[in-house]
Amino acid sequence: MRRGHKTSYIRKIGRYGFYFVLPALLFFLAFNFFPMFYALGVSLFKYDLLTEPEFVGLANYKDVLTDPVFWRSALATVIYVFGTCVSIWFISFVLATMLSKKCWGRGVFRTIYFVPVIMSLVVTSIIWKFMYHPYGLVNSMLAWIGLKESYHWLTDTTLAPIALIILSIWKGTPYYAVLFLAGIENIPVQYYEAAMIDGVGPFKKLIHITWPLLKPTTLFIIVISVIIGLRVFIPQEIITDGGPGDVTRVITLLIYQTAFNFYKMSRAATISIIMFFFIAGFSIFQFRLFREKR
Amino acid sequence: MKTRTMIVVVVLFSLVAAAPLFAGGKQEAAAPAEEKHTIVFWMHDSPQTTAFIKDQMIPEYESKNPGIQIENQFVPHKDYEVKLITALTGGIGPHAYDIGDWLIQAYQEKGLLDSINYKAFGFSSLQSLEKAWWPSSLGGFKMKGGIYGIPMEYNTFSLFVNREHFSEIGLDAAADYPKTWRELGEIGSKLVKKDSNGRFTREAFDWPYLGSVWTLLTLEPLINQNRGNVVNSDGSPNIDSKEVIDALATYKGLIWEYGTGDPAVGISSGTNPNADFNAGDLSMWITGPWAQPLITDMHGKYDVVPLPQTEGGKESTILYAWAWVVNGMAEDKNKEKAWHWLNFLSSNQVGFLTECGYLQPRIGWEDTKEFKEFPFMQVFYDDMANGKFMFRSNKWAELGEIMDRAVQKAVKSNEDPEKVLKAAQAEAEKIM
Repeated sequence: MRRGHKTSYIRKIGRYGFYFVLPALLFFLAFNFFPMFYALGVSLFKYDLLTEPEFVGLANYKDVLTDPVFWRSALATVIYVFGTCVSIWFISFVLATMLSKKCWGRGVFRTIYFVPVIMSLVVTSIIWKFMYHPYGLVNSMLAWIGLKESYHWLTDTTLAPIALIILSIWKGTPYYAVLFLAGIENIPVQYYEAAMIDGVGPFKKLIHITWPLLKPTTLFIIVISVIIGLRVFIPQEIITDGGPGDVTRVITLLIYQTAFNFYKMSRAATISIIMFFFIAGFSIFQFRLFREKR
Repeated sequence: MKTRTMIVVVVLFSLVAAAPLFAGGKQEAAAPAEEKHTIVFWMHDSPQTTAFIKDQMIPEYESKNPGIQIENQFVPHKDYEVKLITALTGGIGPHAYDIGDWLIQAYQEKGLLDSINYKAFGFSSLQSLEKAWWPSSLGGFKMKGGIYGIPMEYNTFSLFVNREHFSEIGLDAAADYPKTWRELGEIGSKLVKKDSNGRFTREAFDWPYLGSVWTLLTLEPLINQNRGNVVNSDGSPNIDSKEVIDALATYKGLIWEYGTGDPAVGISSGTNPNADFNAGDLSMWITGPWAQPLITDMHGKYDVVPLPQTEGGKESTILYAWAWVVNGMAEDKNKEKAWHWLNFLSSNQVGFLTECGYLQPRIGWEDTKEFKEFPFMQVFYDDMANGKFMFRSNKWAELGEIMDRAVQKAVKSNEDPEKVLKAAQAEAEKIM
């Protein structure tokens, strides 16, 4: 009897819990899941907003996957993600290691360094656009260290992707450094004390204690940074508009232009779905790796 | 089996999710208000026009037509087309709006435009209406036996030259202005000023890098002068033809051979592309009559001269217009009232010229003091006589984008015009 009462109480609590979660659940269903399934549906039609949709099955997928424009955009995305993420992983780890040391002004430095993260990406993009002007701050600083050539950061097809990667490293590194820092500070201090008693040097501590214990954090950062990198849009839209030519036209910008400049909604949806499966596949792979490593 | 069931469920759910949005079909435009007949009117925002229409034209029209109310919305230029097309397709679009002439074919083929109601303009036929506008000025809006727009601003691009800069190198701008692109390059190379580090302190000439419309407005006259076309008469792309390649080589050559400017340095503001010329940082600049109210700091210090030509080529300039149109999906009673409103708007040529700097090609005001005294009117008028509207295609946006990206590669990054245009041709053929 008492057991039955307990079960009913748990059910009741569970029901109330569900009611509390319901608004958020409905929000997600309406604004996340519905558009996602809608996009999947649209990708099976020929649809341009203005004329009646026509069912075409998987023709859009074949069309997109054989289009050099899509592959150039995919390459621009891969270059951006690779250039940005690999640099961020390395720099943010080094930075976190440095910030974990107790020294004078550490709190102030941590706060200042975090400023790029809280600034709007739109604002920072506009600021960097001015900084990348041939007579702007970046070239002036390079001239100061002896590189006097006037680099055309945003109009040169080689330099423009690099310019956007540098901006993203500057903007993203502090955030990931904080994640690494949290991971480092969660490592029990006893390990380091024991290593110190055994006479282990700083480098060996890093390799044999810090690094192995940071693997879960590292894998989390890899997954998150790659997903965020693949979804990048604002700097490419504001600073270069995908140019010069199309060297910085990342997939998200291609989706936007396909949908809202050319009104090819089904094609845009198709690219979105392909991107979704790529991100999902990559994430599943990473999480499996994460599980194995744990 | 489990995976297959899952896939079937996802596909079915996707189709169901998409179904209601397709089922709606085309809807009627926004319903008018109960008492007064409301005409919903949208335009792209521009500093000189918004105030004039809002503060003068709408109150005047509403006082003359007490039964009609104009519900206006001026949308920032950058967002205008996306917002407009979304509203039109969602069935909540305006009854009357404005679009660039280059989009006319795409909009007309989608049923978004109504053919002009000549009766609302007080004419007995379409032919008599056409005769009331400057020759060829409605040509950009004629399709399939109808006329689909009335020019709000009728433009050409002419060359603006800074008199003081010319006199610095011993030239009289009014007489010694460049007649050809080669002369523009030669004079430009003398007008350029650089500091000891080789940095431009003054550009002589630069092209606008403000997107596909500006790119084609400036490149297409060179193509026409070479007797070429961006698209063939059957609508197929002709981007890698010799005429287009030569035009792009000339276009690029002004920057890379003559060094008249640097694409990375100036003309980077989409909000006011005339700013560099106005500030005296640029000696020559191609723009239209509408720009004069924006070039306030250079007032009295510049000349407007005919657009340069290609030596041995066909004399040709560009024509373009933003036009008022009526929503083809609106109810008939709204269409009629909307045309009535547009007739009123297009009947104040003097107001639009003096307040906005817009030339409206409706005949009957050429003898007015305002027309005659508008600076350099004769130059613009003569350039218009040699003008041609940009190419027409129902895929204008895509072709324009492809061309713009090719031009960017050639002009900004010094790539070979032939190579970039051949790649552009392949891309264009695929979308056609």
